[in-house]
Amino acid sequence: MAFFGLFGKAKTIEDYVNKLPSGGMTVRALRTLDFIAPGEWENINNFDTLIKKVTRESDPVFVADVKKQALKLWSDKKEGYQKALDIYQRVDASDKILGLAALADKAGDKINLLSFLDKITPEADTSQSIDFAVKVLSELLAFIKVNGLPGDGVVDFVKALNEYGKDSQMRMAALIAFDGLIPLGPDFLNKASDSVKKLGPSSLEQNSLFSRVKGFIPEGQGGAGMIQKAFGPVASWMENFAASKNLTRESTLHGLSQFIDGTDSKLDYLGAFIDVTTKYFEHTGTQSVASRLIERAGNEA
Amino acid sequence: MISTCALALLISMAGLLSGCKEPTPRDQQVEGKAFNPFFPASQDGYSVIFTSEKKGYSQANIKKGDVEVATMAVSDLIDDAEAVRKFEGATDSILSFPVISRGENGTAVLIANRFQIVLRSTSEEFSAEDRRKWISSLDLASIAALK
Repeated sequence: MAFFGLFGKAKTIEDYVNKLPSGGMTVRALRTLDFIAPGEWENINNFDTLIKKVTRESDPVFVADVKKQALKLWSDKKEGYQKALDIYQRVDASDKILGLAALADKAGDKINLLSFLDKITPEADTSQSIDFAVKVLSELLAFIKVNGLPGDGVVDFVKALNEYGKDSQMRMAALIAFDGLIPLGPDFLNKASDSVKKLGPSSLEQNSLFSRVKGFIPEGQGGAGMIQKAFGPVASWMENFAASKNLTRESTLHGLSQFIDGTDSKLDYLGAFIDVTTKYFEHTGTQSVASRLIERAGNEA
Repeated sequence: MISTCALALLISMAGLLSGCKEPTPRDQQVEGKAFNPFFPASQDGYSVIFTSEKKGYSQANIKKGDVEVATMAVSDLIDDAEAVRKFEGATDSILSFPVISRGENGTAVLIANRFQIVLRSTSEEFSAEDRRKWISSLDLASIAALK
């Protein structure tokens, strides 16, 4: 239903890309992670511009051909691009987001975290750890929808993480920084691994994020089993990725302190604040789905 | 029966169910996996990494060291007569298969009037000549024999 507007007209990937914000909390938070690959992530929110960027072409006839093919692939539900975007949107779906994000946006150039403390409820470490693991699962599910399931899905997923475009790398960096390092600390991967090992069907079912994405798990694959299979290899990749990009709690806090005051304490509140005021999964997910769709269209047009 | 199908069609139009459909040309597309054995292996400092595999489509990245220099894709155009028509009047060929340019950075070849192979440079380093060379290194005859 998310893909239908007020009068039932299906929204296209072009609509979703063109509606991405140029500023606001999500973009400001993502920009603080620019240091992982300076200048490489561009916040492109125009579909035609994205076509030119991805294909490295400017010939209007070719660009039009690519666009036509991209929209054709998008409209075919069997291709999975719509489902992938749905997954990214569901990860960030929350009743709390809009109100607080609007308040944060009105706070001026610099936001004082302390003035929001009474509006935020940090999650317990266990619950935060499960959320982190379910976000990894969601990324895997979206990957399968966009790229198919070649060979062993999990192994290829981990290999493909190294081939990820800049928008996807930015999402992974944000996941590590905002959902791992800040709320859980430098040993976030160990904490998440411990939670994953103990994960049973009942603890998963109680997780609201899991309930939103479980419908996308392929038949015959239990949610807990799929997370347990995927988490180890993904955690190793994340550890190497964070180390190679100097992605630490300190570097993340340094970035966020450029626009949020009070980041030196109450880190659990800071994590919760970013969680409820940003939609970084949906934002970069839209850019990723569109980029992969355009890449394929460029190969088929 | 007719009314059941009509009802299913209505529901299908609402995006809730798909059924009561004739097989489409798209259903006849080969699985992307079928193309993979005919991609060239990693060679001469270049590595070939599969990145996408869907019905009628397979894609790999070509990397030199850690840097992606090109993408290589095979697609089944059995449902896309318009895409096949663009090869009409091609003046270039590889092993008698028609070859055309796609933009500044792409080279496409049509195999057996059905399978399209496209090499796209993603780095200045990878020239049009490189694209031709890599297209020739796919097993074109085996791709032509796919059903």
